[in-house]
Amino acid sequence: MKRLRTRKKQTETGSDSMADQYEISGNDVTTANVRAILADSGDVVYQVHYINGDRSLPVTVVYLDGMVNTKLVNDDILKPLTQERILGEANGFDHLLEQIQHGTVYHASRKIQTRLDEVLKDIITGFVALIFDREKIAVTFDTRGYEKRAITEPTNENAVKGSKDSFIEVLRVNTSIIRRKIQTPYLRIKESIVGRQSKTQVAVVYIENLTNENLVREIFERINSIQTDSILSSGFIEEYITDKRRSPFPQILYTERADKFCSYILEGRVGLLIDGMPIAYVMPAPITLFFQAPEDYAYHFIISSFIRLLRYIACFITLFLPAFYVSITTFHQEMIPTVLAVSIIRSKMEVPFPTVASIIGMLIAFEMLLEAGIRLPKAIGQAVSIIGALVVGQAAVQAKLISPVAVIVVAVTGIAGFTIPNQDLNNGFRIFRMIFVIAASIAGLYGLSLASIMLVYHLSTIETFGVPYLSPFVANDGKDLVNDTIIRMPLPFMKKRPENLKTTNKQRQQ
Amino acid sequence: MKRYMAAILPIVAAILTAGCQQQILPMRQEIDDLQLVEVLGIDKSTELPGYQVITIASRKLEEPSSVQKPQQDQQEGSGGEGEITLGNKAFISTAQGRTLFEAARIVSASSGKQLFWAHTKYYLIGEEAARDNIAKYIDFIVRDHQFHINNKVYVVKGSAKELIEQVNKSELYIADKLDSLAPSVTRLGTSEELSLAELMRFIDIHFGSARIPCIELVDRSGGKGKSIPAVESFGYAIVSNLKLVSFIGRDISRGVNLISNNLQSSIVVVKDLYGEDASLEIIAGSTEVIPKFSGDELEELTLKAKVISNLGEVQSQKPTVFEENLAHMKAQLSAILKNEMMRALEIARESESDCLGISDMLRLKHPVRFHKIEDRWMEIFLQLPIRIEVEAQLRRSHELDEPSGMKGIR
Repeated sequence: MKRLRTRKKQTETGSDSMADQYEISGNDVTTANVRAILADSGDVVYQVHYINGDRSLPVTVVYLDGMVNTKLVNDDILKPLTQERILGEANGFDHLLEQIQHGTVYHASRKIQTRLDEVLKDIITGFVALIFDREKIAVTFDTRGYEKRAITEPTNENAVKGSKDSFIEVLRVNTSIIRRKIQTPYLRIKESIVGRQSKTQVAVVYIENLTNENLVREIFERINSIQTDSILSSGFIEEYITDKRRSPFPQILYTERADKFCSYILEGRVGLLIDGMPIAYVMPAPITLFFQAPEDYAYHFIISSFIRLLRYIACFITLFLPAFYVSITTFHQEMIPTVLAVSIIRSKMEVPFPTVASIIGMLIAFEMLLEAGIRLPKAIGQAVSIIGALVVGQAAVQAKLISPVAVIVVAVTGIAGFTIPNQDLNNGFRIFRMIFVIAASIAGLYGLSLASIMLVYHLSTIETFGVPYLSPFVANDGKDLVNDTIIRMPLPFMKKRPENLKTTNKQRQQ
Repeated sequence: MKRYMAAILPIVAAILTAGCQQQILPMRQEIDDLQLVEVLGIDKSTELPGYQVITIASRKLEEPSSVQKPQQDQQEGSGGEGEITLGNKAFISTAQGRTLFEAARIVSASSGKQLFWAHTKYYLIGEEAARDNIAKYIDFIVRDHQFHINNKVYVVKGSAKELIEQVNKSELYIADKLDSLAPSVTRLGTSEELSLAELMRFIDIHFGSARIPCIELVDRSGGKGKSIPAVESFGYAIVSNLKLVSFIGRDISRGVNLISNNLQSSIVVVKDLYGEDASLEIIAGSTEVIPKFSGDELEELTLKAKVISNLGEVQSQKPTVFEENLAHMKAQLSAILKNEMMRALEIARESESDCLGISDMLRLKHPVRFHKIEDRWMEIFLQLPIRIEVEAQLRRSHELDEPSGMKGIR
């Protein structure tokens, strides 16, 4: 209890002083203080060197093994430090520091640090620190050289006709990719640190004089207000900055494709990159954004419009089909054409379970297969799909545990769900699909209608960074209704940026 | 929270106040517990006075391979309880009761499943029931919410029960047979379809009468002395004062259709100048009512029909397409149709029933004047001089000037 109270006090006062937490002498930049904080971690290297062999000029070299480029440290820092004669001839510490600062130690990025927390931050992010204990000062060099993944093709968002570079886990690489694609000098990449323990670097990306300034300010405020230990998974940031956390619907779009990300930035949205995550976030993200795929702009607008329309239809199918089937077979049999009704009856004659139990059972089985397929290694995942199709489908039908029509309904529902480009949105639909089935099983189409009204009500109450979630279909004065929503108009027709973003620069093209 | 309450309260109110049943939620019923009735036959009982017979036909649910062949001894008698007939394609059940409602309840008891009337496509009214009182028998259908009033009504010449049972002995399912009957009679111009809603209108207006499409059971020889029961159109049943009073056979039902502007297609066979047969296909026909009033009194009525036809077939191998020949054929066409119209008119007058819709056409053309005579319409209709004119057009006559084989004749 005492510990909890102490922590609460710290949070309340905002005190995060290292001197309070560790037994160190003040906040001085000394090897002892660094050692006291970093303790005896196996990857921390402490080496005492003498400048130009002069025992009166000791310096402690501290770095994290694995985080630095060792060759760079040896050749560009340690070697000149011990061999450059000019350093030995330095007249006092100030002169020595001046020599180091002005290129005797050959490295482009160097910082003089007098604060212990700054030194520690540099060491942790892959810098080498030269600590001068007597003077309580350190010089840090950017020698980051940890292993990183190469830029590869996106794995979840296939690029058929577009650029194939995707984001990787290293923030700086990701910012460079964006810079290469958006070469305007007004592109702003503003970084911040989130996570009291993980100290994760996040970068907010936008274009000045184009993006709504209030939106940028709001996003910064929300990011800076995050008080958490770590940002290790994508959900960490998402859940902290979204407007309506209880909603299962995504309010921030994520993408691993750099071209998609940049197109949204150019549209007037704000992007968010997180170090350690191979995805980027885009906000605000109304529901129409989740139906868009980068390929929509690569194909002819008629083809794209057809596919876009198909996605919206598929969305309704995946959301309503199982519930509609339950409704009409349990309550409104007169709605089914006679021949079809007879087929359904024939297929269900020896099935012992009611329709709603069959459908819910199949939906759960489908969700389980889906989950198993995702979690297992790829090779086994395929086997699960085959077994699932055979066991749940064919065998269950033959054993009269389920009617073939129910299998078809659930299969069509699942396939329709896969056409939605964004998995987060599909997940939201999965939840409501179940709710709809239950509502339909209680009161048929009447229940389904009430559940649909609740869904529409829920979606209407969501705002994503000040933009209504259902815009431009609602609350947009009828603007942009067809430009880039259910269909995609030809690109030359899209002269203005989306109205709902209230961008500073509204003209996209002349 | 207030917003959620504001949303939930109207929903709860809607659930609690909607519907007329005692239970709040709609009634749940699995589809495989239902017996989908597709054809409903209504008869007057010949055995028990005052009793009514209901016969239902629904599609067999077992796979065709497991269906038993029909047996004569399974279709026996009648009584207060329902009976089941096992046929080829249909599940047929019959019951009789003091009212149709009672009979329907008895028939549902004979089926292991709940009878579901919402899929009923055809209402077949037996001849005797129709002669008794049409309105009495359709009240059961109109009152029940499961029945749809846009479905079709036929009067059966004879018994509806017999027709349903006999057709079930053939390879055809009764509902499928009736489905195929409608387009074929439309193509021949011998009858048409009538929905229950339309029938209700006709029997509710005081100046007009209804004509209901009529079907009959016929025996077709299948060779080796085997008879094949089939359903054919008989023309129309004429209803006056809610009772079936007469029939218009299929030989003149085309005249009825032409007078009432319902002739879409038909075939008329005429002779050419060489005495050979030629087929004329009627592709459109319409009739205009031209009344002659004296003040508000209707003095005379002219039914002016216009018919457009194609030359469909010429059996002589001689030059056909010349003015005299075409005029000869057109004149025959006009005469045949005029004759059919006149005979239809005669039967309507004999039956004291304006089943041809003349009053309707007159009302639409002169609503104010008709309003003044509508109470006396039947009296006027029976005595009114009605002239019939038919103007026939012949098209597609020049597509084959010289018939095949013409040059072979010397």
